Amino acid sequence: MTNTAGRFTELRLALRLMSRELRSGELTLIFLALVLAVTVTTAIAIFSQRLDLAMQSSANDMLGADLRVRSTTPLEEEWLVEADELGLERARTLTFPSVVVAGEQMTLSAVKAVDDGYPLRGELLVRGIDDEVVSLRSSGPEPGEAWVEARLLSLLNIGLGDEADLGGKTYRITGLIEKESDRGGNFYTLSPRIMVHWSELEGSPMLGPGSRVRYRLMLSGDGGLLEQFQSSVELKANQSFESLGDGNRQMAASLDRARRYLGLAAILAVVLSCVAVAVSARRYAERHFDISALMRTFGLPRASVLRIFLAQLLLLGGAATLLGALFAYILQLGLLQVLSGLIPEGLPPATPSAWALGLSAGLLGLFGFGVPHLLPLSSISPLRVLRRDLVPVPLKGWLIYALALGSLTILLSLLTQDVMLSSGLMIGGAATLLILLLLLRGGLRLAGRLLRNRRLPLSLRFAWQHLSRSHTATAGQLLAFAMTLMVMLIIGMLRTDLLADWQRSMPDNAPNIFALNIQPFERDAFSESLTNHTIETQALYPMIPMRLVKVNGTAVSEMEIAEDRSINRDLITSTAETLPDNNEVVGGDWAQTAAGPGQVSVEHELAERLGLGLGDVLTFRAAGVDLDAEITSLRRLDWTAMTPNFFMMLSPDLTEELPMGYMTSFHLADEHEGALVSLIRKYPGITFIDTRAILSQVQTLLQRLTTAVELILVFVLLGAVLVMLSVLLTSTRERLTEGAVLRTLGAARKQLRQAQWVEFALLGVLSAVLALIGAELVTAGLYIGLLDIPYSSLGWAWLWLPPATALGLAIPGSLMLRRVSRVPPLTVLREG
Amino acid sequence: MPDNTDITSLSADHLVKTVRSGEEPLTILKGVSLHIKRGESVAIVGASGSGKSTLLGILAGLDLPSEGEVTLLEQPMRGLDEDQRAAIRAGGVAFVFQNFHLLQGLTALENVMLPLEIVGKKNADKEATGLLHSVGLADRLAHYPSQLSGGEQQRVALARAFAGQPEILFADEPTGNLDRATGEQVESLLFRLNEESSTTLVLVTHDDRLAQRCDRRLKMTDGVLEEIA
Repeated sequence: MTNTAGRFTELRLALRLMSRELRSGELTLIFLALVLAVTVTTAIAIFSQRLDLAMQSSANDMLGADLRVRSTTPLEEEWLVEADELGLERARTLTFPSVVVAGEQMTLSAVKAVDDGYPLRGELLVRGIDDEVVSLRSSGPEPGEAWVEARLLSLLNIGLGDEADLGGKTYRITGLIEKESDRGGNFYTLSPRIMVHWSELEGSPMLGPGSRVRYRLMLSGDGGLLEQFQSSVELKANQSFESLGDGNRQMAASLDRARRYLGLAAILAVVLSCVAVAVSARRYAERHFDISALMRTFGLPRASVLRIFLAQLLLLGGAATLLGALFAYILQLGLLQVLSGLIPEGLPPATPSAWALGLSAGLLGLFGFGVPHLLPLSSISPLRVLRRDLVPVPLKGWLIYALALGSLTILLSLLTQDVMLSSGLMIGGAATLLILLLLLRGGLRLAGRLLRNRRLPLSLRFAWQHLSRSHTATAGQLLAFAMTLMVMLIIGMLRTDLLADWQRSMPDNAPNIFALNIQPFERDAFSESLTNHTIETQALYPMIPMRLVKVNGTAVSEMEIAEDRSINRDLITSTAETLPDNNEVVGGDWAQTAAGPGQVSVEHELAERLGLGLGDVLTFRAAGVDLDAEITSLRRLDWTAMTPNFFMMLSPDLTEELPMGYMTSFHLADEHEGALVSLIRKYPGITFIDTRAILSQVQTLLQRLTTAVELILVFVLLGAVLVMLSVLLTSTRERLTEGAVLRTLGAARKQLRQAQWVEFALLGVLSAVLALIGAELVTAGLYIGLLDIPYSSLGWAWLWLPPATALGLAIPGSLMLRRVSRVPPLTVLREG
Repeated sequence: MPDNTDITSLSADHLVKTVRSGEEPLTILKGVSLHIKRGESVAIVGASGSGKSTLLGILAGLDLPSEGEVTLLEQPMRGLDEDQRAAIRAGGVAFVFQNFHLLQGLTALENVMLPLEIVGKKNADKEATGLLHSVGLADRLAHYPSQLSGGEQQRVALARAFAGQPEILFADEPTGNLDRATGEQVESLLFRLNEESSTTLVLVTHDDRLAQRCDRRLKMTDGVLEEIA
């Protein structure tokens, strides 16, 4: 037989044997497990890569320039002159949060004003009233017009071409922003964008000292010229250069974390699929010892036998990979959908390398977990045709585990692109699981001892007997289900409890609106307006942005605390004669601070962090002036109280000469919604921040991130079900014989089915109870130990989860075993 | 047909087979020798556990003796590895088993085609169809083993055994799992096919009547083989 003809014959044999075997169960399970593994890894791989590509390739786009200068005060005129002299292209933007109103509807939005140079780099896609999408360069909205994100229109219940008010001016909405690549990511990206012309807001009272405005000068041009610009301009403490990588570091970090969780969840699904592959492949091999021996008696060489079975696995793997790829594509679209709004839109497509990485999961799963069990098929003695007791020597146990762990580690490090982390996780994870597995197995043994010689109902006795047949297999399944359910429970609980508990803990009339940037001239009028609307308000506090520059005469930049998050940024300080509500003095004397002169009261946790104490002298820089203040009191703040809170409160003498705005907070009952609209219209310069909107944004954020992780956890559960089914399959033969014997003894089909249901229900209930106990312990630890919120039990979950899990396992399980009660007993007994 | 009866098809000299059973070594074959000419039919009878099946396995090259020499189809087995012995089997050895050993996943026709395909024969399906016709299963080509009676399954196994036109056929209790009437039908078929293709036949059986139909009868007693009249 020629080599090619031989290979062809082998392939044909492989196909022929496989076509009938597809119904046998093991191949179906291997197929499904591979599809699952490929789907999850590929989806995560392409999703991560698309994010990465968006981050890297458009880092430049995201900056919107080659260099940016950021400032909390208006851009210096000399910068513009310098940029023009150097021949750099430039554009100016400013951003801040504010409320937009249309009719009786209002919403918090992320305002951006741009000049005629915008956009410089990156992409701005706008759909005009004529419904055409245009990519723009150096052409922002005209004065009097506004471009918005579609979300804003739906929140305000208006359409393109309608009008909306911002800061006391009315704008006509003439464009829908479809892509704004330099939008960047910070908290307010959750608010919809409204973009207007620079001239509309320049010098507006909305941009007062407390308005949280950010000015940016965007520059682009030759690298050398940019360097020249950088060295020739001098920046103040509140100004900085932003270059590649700075812009979205924070967002990249948080997305990276989310991606790692997704990757971990994905790996769990892959591990379970691989276990299902291993269990099924082993059983498949065992069932084919006879055929292999027979083929050997026909004179087929060892290698050919192996090739025939490997070809089957490869064909199966190939088909599973194709189907997995399709599902993966759909799944990552689902992930993008769930996370839409949190990640940049219009991600670039994934490259073949990401696809290859994901799709390799199928092959790694096959070769790491399936093939080792098939290898003995080639070493089977043909003598088995005469002596059934001859079985081939299996591969060494350590080799099988080493192959399995090795291939998983490869897969994990490809997914996380971090070999150390992957190896660590693999070893740590394997050790933890092993300990839990041993504990559970011990528990099952103990239960078995306790149940011995007890008179249990027949179906329960059979169910227990099946479960305790292999303590390790049962403990493994319990662990898989319980762990997955536990993680889902914890996620679900954190998602709802974190914010709900906080909201619950606040009194009904807690302030929910902050008003910032109230100018001195309108201060009294604004107070009066609130009173007219019967709105009870806190005192109005001055807001003075200042930077801490020295401690006891030493520059903070030369101290260890230089990297602290409160250094190198403006702290909003204030001043008051009486101690504000929800402030408690924990050191020194407030009366002394309030009386002055030259004194300051510091929030005690910040003081601790910076190593400050009573008597230390702090130097602040505000509006170019340095002020010295001695610490004469320390305060504890209640951050959850939603009243104005300040890290630093200075004695009034220090701030007299400084420009300042005022802020306050008040409670707005739902029925007073109209009052807010009229306040916004009357005081266009004041920034109103509706904390209800922010809370619901945080809620949305949490909801989306956790939904994404849960989406992947569903696949983990599916993996666990596949493991259960593959373990069931290995015991089918025994169960068939047992069922046949029972039926010849007079047991009815119904009784057999009942015993099966009891078995799966037991497995389900045990898993669910373990998951509930685990989740209760973990959340109790988290709530009481870490989050400091009142612990509440899982409650209703105790009632619905056990039966739901029991049902969830009993349906696929009893479907799998339906043959046991259906096949005529004689057939089974004859087959021997 | 040329007279081949002088050519030795299978010979064994001083075969000893020792296996370890627990602590003690157990000798199953104690110096067995035999020579079988081409076209001869030989029955090996003996009580259960006397070593018949062990001998059959060694003669067919499925297993190796601890001592002694086997020459199968003029090729000495000594020093050959499993794959080399498989190549000899592929050339001219066939088997019939007590429990048929048909592949459950394949139809009757596909089962018979299998050995032909393994040696890369063209028109395997044609030849296999012809063989199934000759064993009276023309209307069972597309049936799976589970859809066939025991007798029918063994007839498929016979057709499969003769498919490669083997020079030598080893049969292990070929009628052991069949009732008497069916057993007799299969038996007749076996000898008819054997005669038509002048195959050498080595069979192991409990059944005296079956043994009586062979040219020679050998009795295995406690690892020792002797010719009986």
